[in-house]
Amino acid sequence: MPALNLTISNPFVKGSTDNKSDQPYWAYFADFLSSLINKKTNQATDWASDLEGTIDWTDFALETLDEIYEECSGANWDEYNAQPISREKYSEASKLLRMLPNSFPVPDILPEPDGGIGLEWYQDKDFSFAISITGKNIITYVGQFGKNNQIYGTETFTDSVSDVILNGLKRLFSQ
Amino acid sequence: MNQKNKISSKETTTRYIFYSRYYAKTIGRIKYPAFVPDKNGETSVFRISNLDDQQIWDIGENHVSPYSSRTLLARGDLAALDIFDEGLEIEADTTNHKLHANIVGWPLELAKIKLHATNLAKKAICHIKP
Repeated sequence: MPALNLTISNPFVKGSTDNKSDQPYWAYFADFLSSLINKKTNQATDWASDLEGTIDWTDFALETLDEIYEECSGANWDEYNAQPISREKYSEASKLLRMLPNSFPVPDILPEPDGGIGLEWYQDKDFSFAISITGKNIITYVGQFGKNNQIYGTETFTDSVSDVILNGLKRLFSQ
Repeated sequence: MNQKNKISSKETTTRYIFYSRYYAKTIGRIKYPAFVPDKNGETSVFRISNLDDQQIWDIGENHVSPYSSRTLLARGDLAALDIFDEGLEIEADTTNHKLHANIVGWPLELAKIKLHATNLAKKAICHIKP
């Protein structure tokens, strides 16, 4: 964690502000506040970038998946006749979550009314990527990379995450 | 008798949400699974044109919630035109309520269903139940 290194000039003490003697007092105070805000913001960004790609979210994601399986393993769990999530889809989702690189953020895990399990990475309404585990080792995907720039398709899921999925995620997070 | 009529592109519809993972309260968005159709290929909505906010919640509370073991949490309002733009259709289904309808005409391909649901979700306006 980087050390906080603030040089604070008291705007209310004459002689402590070097060459800014022509400024009114309120301007010193505004500068002081601004420097504080900038330092804090930069520091927060530094911490985030230090941590990026190093947080192992797999356990957290698997716990969420367990909760969802418990919530949605019976019929009609969404009150709109949703199909239950099967053990097969739960297992495939669990396997996929363990294989996804932690360098990407943790996905939002979403049960789907057709009994599928969705993994969604959402940045804003025009930038997102979602995978649906639909059973029988088949996953579908939908990617949005800006307005009118969408991809979708179906992939077979075996013992590795397909390049299409990894490239979709890379594309989303390189925006 | 189950009346099924196509509705106008000028109308507005809403999807009531009972499952907490289907919307993000903090940023006010509906998530795509909220619009994925049921096993009959239908997404249940209500026609809400010319209704005020309280009347819209009242429909959810009085005509949908009683059939639900979950609490009504939110709703996603969607212009009929946005649904038609996806190549989907809306059919009135007044069996249980005069304003009830279903989004129909979903493709068979799962990836396309998710694509349309994603597009509907991003156009939907999220309202959190007061």
